[in-house]
Amino acid sequence: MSDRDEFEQLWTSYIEGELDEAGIEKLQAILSADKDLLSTAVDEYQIHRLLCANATSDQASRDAFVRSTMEKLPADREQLVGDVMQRILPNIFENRSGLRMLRRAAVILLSVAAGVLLLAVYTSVTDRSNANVAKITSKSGPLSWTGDGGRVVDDLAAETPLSGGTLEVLLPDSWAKLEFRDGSVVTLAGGSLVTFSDLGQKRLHLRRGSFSANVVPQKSGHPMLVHTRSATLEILGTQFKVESELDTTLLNVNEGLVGVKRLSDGKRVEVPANHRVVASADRQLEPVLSPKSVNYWKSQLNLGAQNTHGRWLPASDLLEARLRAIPYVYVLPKRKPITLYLAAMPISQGENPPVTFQSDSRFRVRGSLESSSGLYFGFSVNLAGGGFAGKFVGHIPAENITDSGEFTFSMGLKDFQLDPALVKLKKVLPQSPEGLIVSHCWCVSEKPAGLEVVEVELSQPDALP
Amino acid sequence: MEKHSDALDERQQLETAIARVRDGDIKSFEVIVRLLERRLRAWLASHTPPGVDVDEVAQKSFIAAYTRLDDYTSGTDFASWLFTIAHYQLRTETTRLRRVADYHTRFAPDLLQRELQRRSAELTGLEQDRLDYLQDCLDGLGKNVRRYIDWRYEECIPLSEMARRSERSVAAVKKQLWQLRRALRDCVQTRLAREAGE
Repeated sequence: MSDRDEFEQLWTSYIEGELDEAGIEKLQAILSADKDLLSTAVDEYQIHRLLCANATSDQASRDAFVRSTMEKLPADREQLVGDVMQRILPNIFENRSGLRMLRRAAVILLSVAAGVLLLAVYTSVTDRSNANVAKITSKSGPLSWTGDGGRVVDDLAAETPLSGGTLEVLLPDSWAKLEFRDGSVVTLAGGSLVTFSDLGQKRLHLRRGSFSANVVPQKSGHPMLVHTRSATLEILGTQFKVESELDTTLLNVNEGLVGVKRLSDGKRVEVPANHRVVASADRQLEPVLSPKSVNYWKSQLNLGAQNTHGRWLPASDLLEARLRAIPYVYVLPKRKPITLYLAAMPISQGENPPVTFQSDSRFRVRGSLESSSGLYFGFSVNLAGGGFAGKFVGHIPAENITDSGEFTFSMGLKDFQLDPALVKLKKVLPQSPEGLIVSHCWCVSEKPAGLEVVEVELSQPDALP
Repeated sequence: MEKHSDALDERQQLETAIARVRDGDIKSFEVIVRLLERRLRAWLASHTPPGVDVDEVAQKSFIAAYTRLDDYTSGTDFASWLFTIAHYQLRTETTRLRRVADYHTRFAPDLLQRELQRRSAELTGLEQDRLDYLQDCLDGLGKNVRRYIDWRYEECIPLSEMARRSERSVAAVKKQLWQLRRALRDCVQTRLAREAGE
């Protein structure tokens, strides 16, 4: 039998799925010895596959393909990782779903018990002075507002007028801008929870998180009051940022003057512009000059999980401390849920100096993957005076990551684009992160690939650690 | 002339749909998928090695195009842009397959995969029309031989059953299919060459 005849027999058997491993090896040997036969084989294979495709191109199967493809699209073309990022980083200290269920249960009970009476009280209160205290002028990500009578609204839209109540920015990478009737603006950072009212004097109770504010001059004797767990702030008109943790309050004043009273002993100080103070029972209450921003930052995962998102794994004899990505299920209305795997960490936070992204800044990310996957790496930025300024994200294709499992990649300005999830705010947000304060960074794998981040470093070529 | 007019009309529909999607109307992406899915799936089918799910690669290509729509320059050739994305998606998938230790012994000769990859890099607009030409060529087959194609590809009948129905041996049926595929290949290539020469 000639090679050609043998090839024809082997090939037709192969096409019919009847060739065993020995046969495939034999076929490989024939093809490698004769280029013409190889070309014939590929021609034949292509026609065979085209015939298969033709057989399944009836309208029903085409419709099914279109439907399935549309279902797999991210909720918004501009979204995918970006929009998911607005819903992740849940507060690790709190079971939100449980809290929400309790809230809803409370609302139902209140509704049943109070009925008409509640409506009358509500009408009376709103008519008097507390209606439309402020409105949400812009936002990103989910918010929850609990208003008078315990009414909970989860789908707040921009320009929604609000009476006094509690506003929660549900996820740490989200934000909301709240504008009071006099033009004072409070920008709530992700994960923050604040109760506010304005019965002739603005009062904000920062239960958790942080906000920056630009407060117009307040009436004499009626300063804006900001209450935290450890301090009370009095603001007559200024620009500042306040962060509240369990035992401390960190205040940064950019303009004007803010009075701070420590709750533990009643001690009071005034914090001038470009100064900061830490109010805590076990610290000296003394304003100090705000640190200048720096251009260098490196994660310190060896120190533990400090407001990180992911599963923190301590160092062992063989491995460095690392942050393992954990799944986040992104539930889309009328679509299949998307699961992404995320590790995230804060950069400019607490008492550390703010870290600025420069035109030649580069992120260097070191980590490992257990199996091949593309990655997204992104970061969020704030304005120097506080306030959300955007998020930037870049993609690292799977093929750019070596097979060894460990990876190191470096990304500079040109590798990032404004997070597509923010496309609707494109005109009002800076188009580049240059000169802005880097707030958080995150790394997401497209698949359950065992992503672990060991170290993230932000530096410039000539920056000194 | 009619084909040229259809192509212009399709481009117009695509550009309109792209503009709508960019304005936030996600549903308009369906227009894009409907206009291009058949050609894309056919192109992928004839360039993917065994073991690759054609529809999965096609869907990944559409989703990649959707998420990167801002990178597309309006008024250029969206179909070519999509096929280029598909080419890279396919390359990623074949790279993955190459890493599967026993893939070549179980599924396909390595040389077949490499040659398919080489051909997939040679993107021409005409490649997208192969399925249409194939259909024309099929329509030109005589009823007596066309039945073998229908049995094999439409009805997925086993070779032994085909042999029984045609009162021939299995080997003869295999030979018949081989000859038919070669004839169809020649027919499609002739039409492609003619189109390229026009």
